[in-house]
Amino acid sequence: MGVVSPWGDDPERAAAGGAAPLPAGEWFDHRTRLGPRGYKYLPPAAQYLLAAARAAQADGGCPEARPAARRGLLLATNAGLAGLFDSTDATLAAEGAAGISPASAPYFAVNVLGNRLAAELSLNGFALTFGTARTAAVDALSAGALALASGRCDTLVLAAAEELVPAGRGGGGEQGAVALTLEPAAAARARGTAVRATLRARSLFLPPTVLDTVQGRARADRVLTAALTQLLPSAGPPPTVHPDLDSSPVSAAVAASLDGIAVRPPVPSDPLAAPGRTGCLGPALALARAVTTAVDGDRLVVCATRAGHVALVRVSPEPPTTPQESPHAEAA
Amino acid sequence: MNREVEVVVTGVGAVTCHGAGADTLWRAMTAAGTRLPDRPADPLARMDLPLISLVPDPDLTAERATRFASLAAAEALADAGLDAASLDTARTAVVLGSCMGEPGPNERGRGDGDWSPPFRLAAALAAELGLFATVHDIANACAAGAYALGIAADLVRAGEAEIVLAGGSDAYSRVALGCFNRLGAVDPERCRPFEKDRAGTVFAEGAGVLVVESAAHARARGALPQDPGAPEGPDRALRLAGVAWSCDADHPTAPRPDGEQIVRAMREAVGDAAHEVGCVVPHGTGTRLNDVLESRALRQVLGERTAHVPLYSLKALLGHCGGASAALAAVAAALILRHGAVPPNVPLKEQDPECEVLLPQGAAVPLPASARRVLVNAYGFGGNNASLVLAAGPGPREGGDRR
Repeated sequence: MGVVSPWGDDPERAAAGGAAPLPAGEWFDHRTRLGPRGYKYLPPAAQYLLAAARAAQADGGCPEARPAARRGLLLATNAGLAGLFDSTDATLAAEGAAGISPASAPYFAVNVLGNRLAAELSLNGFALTFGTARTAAVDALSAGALALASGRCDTLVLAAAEELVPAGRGGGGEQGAVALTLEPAAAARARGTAVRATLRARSLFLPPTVLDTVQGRARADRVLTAALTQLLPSAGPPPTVHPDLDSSPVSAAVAASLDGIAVRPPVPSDPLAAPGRTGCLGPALALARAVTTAVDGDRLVVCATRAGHVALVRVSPEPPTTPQESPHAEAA
Repeated sequence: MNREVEVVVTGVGAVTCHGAGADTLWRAMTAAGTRLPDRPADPLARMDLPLISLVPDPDLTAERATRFASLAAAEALADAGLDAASLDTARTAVVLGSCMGEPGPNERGRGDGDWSPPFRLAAALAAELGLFATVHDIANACAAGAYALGIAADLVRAGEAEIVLAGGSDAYSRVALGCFNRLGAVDPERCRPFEKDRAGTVFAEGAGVLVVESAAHARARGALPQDPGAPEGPDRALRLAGVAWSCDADHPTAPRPDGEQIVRAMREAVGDAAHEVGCVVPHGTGTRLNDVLESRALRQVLGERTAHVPLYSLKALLGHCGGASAALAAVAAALILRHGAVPPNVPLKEQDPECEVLLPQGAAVPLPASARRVLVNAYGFGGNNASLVLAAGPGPREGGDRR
């Protein structure tokens, strides 16, 4: 696991920093973080991705243990290229297409943000890019688990990156990147590699207008309860919740369903429940933080958005404390 | 994960520059006419070649990609014989691919408010239909629709969804078109794949949506004959026989010269049934590099049969629909299989001799009974490659095809 943020590269500090003002001055120097040459013209979010992935490798992540054709990339971003798009649009209006930098032109396709990372790690299996507002990283995780279970790959690099939204377009947002190296839990244990934690992910949707009715809310509760029952162990202590919720009816439904499951309540004044939610890094940092703290027991990262997206990730310590569960959609 | 589950496509829907509807698309395919691209009424599109084939829908400020996806999905559901009640009782997922999502609100003069995350097409469709299940937007550039179909197949096999609405949608983006102009990758006339003097691609708007489900689920609701060995009728569902992915992990825009990864994806999708491929809907964009590399890669996969397997060059008819292109190619493949014939290609002036592929023109080519599989290729910036195979007729065994 690797984290790159303006508040440092420790997951707990990075996650806690999300509610704080950005540190003054330049916090990321691509020359010192990545190398003296070859990275200058990459968009900042692509630079953060590379740095986070290298940190994940230094932490013990080893995608190179598998053949290149069996390595996959999951990329998540929301506003990682919003600034570049906005400046490109301004250039078009002011001077026309000839004024666009040729180095930046390919990035109109947001997935190109992960291209250099795929090249440096020879991730030839596939690359999947998610841009869903707020839940992109955890949605990528559930899709990645599906890809592992489907046999499309044997190992994954999941990388989420963000950059600030331009001031002229509302400003705010997040900066930095998170990278996780993943593989099936059983394969990792069989290989004898160090496992930080086991992740089980579920992405679902609650159509917002359905929640306007009593019957709709009851159905949402049944859907959420079923997902949580499937995700959580039938025995053992309840997990600690890491919530990333807003004031929407969707989040209210999710919060209500958590009350119905025997989980510990959210820690008061949890900095992860900060109001600013532009970007997908918040839940990704919550995942990183949960991986770090899972030694103390299961964690449940919960994210929901006004648009209807709900993402749930159970983070379990290694070795597992509960009897062997279904291997589907597990990643170590 | 049950890899023995047979995955089928039971409905298709399309929106293109020719209008709405898969029938409209088929008529355009069989007519094989030439349609010149449009110039969008956008005073800020300051570029040498502001060309794009637009869906006939005049409002450039509206949420176009969302609307196109909704229309295509509605048609696909009707085609599959699924109504709101059917969707409500099944676990129905939505997976849509797109290159730009909904870009308009973030572009000057088309929506000047705060920045909004553009990848929200799948959520909009799921909200419209009232669906509770997995909902994903896949931002895999020009291969996004094929990746969406792969995820759909995997969701069905994993038992995480009984029905998946899968496809892609893309609409006009000034930023995308401006960047493509800057890359020098736009043909000054129209999209002319495999032409000797081709000079690039021309973007287009569009959406393609397919209904994906397990054969067992389709059979249980009467969408397939109960006896898998029964003679197929003209409206029989088609098998999604294989969807394979690969990544060049190399240059951001140029394909790898050795074509190794696109060959690998094709071989995985085709499996051991290369002899049953009766048609190919290529990625074929009209760029100098792609068309010749894809031609050579096809020769590696199909061998000597390459000279006899007709290609249907969809982008010559529609333009390059970005993230929707692979989904529309899958719709076109479905139509070819349903009708049992490959329509004539939009006429070429002079085929590039380095592109040694068969592009029949002037008349339709019947699909042989022994070759009822259509291979679809899709390649996106970032080296995101995908190939898929749609097949007609019963599977090789009750369990179905390879992935």
